[in-house]
Formats: sequence, C-alpha cells, structure tokens
Amino acid sequence: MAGHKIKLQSNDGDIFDVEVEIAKLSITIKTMLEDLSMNEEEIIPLPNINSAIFKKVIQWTTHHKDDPPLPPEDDENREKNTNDISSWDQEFLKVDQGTLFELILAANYLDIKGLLDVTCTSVANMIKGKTSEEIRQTFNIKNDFTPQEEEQIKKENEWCENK
Amino acid sequence: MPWKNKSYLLTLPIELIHRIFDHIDAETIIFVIRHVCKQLYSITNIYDRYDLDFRYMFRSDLTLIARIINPKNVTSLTLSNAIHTSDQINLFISQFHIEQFIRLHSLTLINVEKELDEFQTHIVQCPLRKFSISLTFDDIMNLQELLSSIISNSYLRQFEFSASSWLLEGIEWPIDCRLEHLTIFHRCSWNTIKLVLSHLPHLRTLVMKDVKWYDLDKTIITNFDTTQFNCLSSLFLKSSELKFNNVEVLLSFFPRLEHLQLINHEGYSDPLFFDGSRLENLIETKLPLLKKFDFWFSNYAQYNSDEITVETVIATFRTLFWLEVKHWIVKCDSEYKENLEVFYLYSIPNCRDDFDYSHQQIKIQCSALNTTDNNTIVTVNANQLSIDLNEMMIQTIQRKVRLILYFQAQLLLVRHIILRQNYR
Repeated sequence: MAGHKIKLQSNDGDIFDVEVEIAKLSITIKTMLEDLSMNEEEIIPLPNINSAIFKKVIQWTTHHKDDPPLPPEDDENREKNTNDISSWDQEFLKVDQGTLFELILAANYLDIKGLLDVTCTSVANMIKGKTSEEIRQTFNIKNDFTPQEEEQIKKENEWCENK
Repeated sequence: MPWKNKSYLLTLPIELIHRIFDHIDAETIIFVIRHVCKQLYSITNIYDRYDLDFRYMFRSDLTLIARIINPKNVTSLTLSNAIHTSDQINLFISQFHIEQFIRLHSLTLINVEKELDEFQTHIVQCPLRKFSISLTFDDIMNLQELLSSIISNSYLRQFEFSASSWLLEGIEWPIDCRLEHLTIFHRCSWNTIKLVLSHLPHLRTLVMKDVKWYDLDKTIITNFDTTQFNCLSSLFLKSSELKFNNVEVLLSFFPRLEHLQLINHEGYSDPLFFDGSRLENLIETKLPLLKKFDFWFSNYAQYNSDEITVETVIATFRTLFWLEVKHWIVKCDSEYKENLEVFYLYSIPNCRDDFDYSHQQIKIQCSALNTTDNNTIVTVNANQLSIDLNEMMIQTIQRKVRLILYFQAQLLLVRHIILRQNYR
C-alpha cells in the first residue's frame, strides 16, 4: 500500500525507512516481501550494499518510481539496449568511478533493471571512441600481454588496417 | 612500476561486463576492447550476444571477424548489398556457414537477391524474433512461400519488409499470427495495408513509408468503413505527400494510439499541419490516449502571406494543451531557399534519423520554440549526419578535425557521419 514503509539495513549498520512501493522496484526486495512473507516490522538486511550507495539507489528509485515497468528479459531474448540517458540520470551519474561501479553491483544485487541499464550504458559511453590504450588509462588497466602476444595482436591489427 | 590502483572495471563479474558490452558496437568490442588486456581478451571471446552489423564495416573486417567470432555467439546479423557494401552478402556466404548461427534472433538482409537461397533453410528453422528483408527485384523462386513460412515461425515478433506490394498481398498469414511490429518500407496502397492488418491481431507497432492515398480518398467520399484496429498503439508514417484530411481519415482506424509519428521526408506538407489548434483538435477527437507525438513538417511560405513568421506559427502551439496537458515541445525554423522562405515545424527531441547539412542553402534565419525551456535535448534519434566541411566558416584543418572528434564524442548514437571536403 502506498505510504507504508519498510526498514532496510545497509552492511555498515544504517537503517533506512523506505516506502514499500519504492523498495519494490528492487525485484530482490519484492521477492523477499512477497515470497518469504516478511512483515513490515522486520529489518531486511542488505549485506552487499553500504549506506552511501544505498542512499544513491533510493534517490534513483524515488525519481523513477512512476516509470512504466520494463519488459522481462532473459539471456535468450535480450535485445541490444538503447543508449539514451535522460538528463536527470546524466546528472545523477556524475560520480567517481568507484561509486559508478558500486552502483552497478548494487543494481545487479537488488535486481533493478532500469538502474543497471543506465549505469552500464554510462560505462559503455566511457569506452566508445577510445583506443585500447585510452581505455587502459581510463579504467586503470595494465597491459599484461607478453611481447609475443602483442606481436600476434599487431598482426591481427595489420590485417584489420590493411583494407 | 608496480600497478598500485585496482581497476573497478575488471573487478566486475563477467556477466556484468557482458551487460556493458550490450551497449557497445561489435567492432569496438572485437578490435579495441579485446586488445586492452588478457582478461578482457578472454571476456570478449566468450561474449555471446554479438550484434554484427556489416553495413558500417570494411570488407576486410568481415574476413577478420569470420576468423575471430564463433557464429553461435552472434544473436543479430545485418548484411547489405547497398552501394557502399556491394556484393557483401556473397562475401559473407564465402566466409561463414549460416547454419552455424544457431542463436540468431535478428536477421536483416538489405538488397538481397539470389543469395536468399543460401539463407532459406536456416531462416525457417532459426528462432528468429526479428526478420528484415529488402529486395531489389522480386523474381526469386517461391518468394511468397518463403515469406509465408518465415512469418509462420511462432517466435517471430518483428517483420520489416521492403519489396513490391504484390508480394505482401500474396503472403499466407498464419491463423493467430504473433507479429507485434510491422514495418512496410515500400509504397503500397491503404487497401493492402488494411488486408495485412486484418491478419495481425497482436500488432502493436506499424511503420509505413509512403502510403498510396487514393483508396483513402475513396474512404473519405463514401465514409462507410468503420473498421478499427484497436490493438495498435504506435503508428509511424513517413511520407512524401502528407495531407491533413488523409491523415485524419487514417487515424480514425487506430483510435487507441499512444504514440504517433508523422514525417514529411521530402516535398512539402499540407499547410494545415502548421496550425497547432487544428492538430490539437485532431488529437483530442481521434486519439484520446495519445502520449507521444513526433513530427516533422516543412512548407514554403504562401505568396500572399507575409504575416506568417516562425512566431505566428509557434504561437498556436503555446496553448495549455501543448504545454501543460501533453508537455510536447515544438520548434519552428525558417530559411531562405532559392529566394523563398521555407518553414520547418518539428517536435523536440527531433524524430528524424538523418540530417543533411551538406547543402549550402540550408541556413536557418529564424527559430522559435513553444517553451522557454532551452535545456531540452534536441537531437537524440539521428542515425546519419551529413556535413559539408567546405561550407563551414572554420578554415583550418585542425579545427575541422576537432569538430569531427566533437561529433564522434557527442553523437554516440550516430552510426554514419558523412563529411564532404574538397581540397582546392
């Protein structure tokens, strides 16, 4: 029922009162409430999410609570996703990389498809248009190919560039 | 130097990195990400939702991809024999075995001819959800039977068709056909479309390019056809001859539309579309459920109508209906073309998927919005952008290069940028 709240606890001990309808945007929480018959007084632990990230998740779900539901998906019918990010989401995702990747993990754990899509799109946009070296620099990745492997890749690239 | 800081990207589980790949084109995954480090090399090798769109790739890339990609990891395939990619489908057949694409959900064949024979058996057996075909000529053996058997596939939800309309008329539609999205690129009559729709009880989206309006005109005169297609929620019409009265009659067949798109892609539109109050009345009477209305109209100023300006046009779109009830943003531009003033009226974000700034006469003189909100994203749907670098005020090559890089960075959805530059 709208207005009813439940208590959710982050892994660093903070307890959040969240409206049931907003919390149910997380399929994980929805399943806990419905299948496990948890009552509203019980505190639901979220062992994989700290309070800073959970605050961001609540901020996102509150803004998107009236969005039309996304169609269900499975690996077999997943279509290529769109790359649109609304201006509100663009502002919301102006965060450091650590926060962005923790949001991806939180969205995945809580099973919030809309948040997972938009955070993955944001990372994808950071990759597009870059060279391999620029991607290494952006995401702090070490080039661990051996010289022989590099040579092999170079041959592939030469093939590729030999158009 | 020791590698002190961790990479957040590489700490993600593989399925989440694959989710990020879902938003990236196959060339970037194969030719760039795969070469970053060993971990990403392995992760790209087992990615199993590759969308191979060969329209925008070099011929040599096709050969290379044939050596790298396992066909069972490909879910979407687009092949084209268009001008820039001539004979690509034959090249594909020489490099791949189509029957190895066992998880193909989407297949697009552009300008396919006799090569269709090679695909026939597999198309019918494959669990395709989307099939798109564009035929340059229709003298192919058993083509109607083939199309009929593809459509009878119970997985198929989306069908795009560009070929002679007689082929469409001859298709045997299965009882309780499950198609939900239909695109007809070829000009065909309203009677043909109506016949097709009568076989598609689950159709939600219809995209039409160029309807022959003459049988709709007859409907206007006789006014006895009360057929309604109540399942359809989205209608996209791209036409070179949009007439207000025809659109009005057409919409009466689709009373439950939630999304309407009208694009006059060449030629000029009926001046009645430039009257916001008429459009408002049309929507209120015919389409009570409409939530989204995208449009693009253009027209010359009438000789005897000096008083028409972008402001007078846009004023009719500043009513409560447009701004408060529907929240639809509308823009009007004017330009001088061959000494005549031309008006462009369109919804924001712009719904057109191609923009050509390569003609020197396109110089916007005046522009007006129906709202004061200037923060709205204007262009999000563009697929093709043409720019004539010769006509730009920028002189140095370096600045032009910087501009191109800007377009690449900002217009991530644009797949095809055409730049024209003459070196004098």
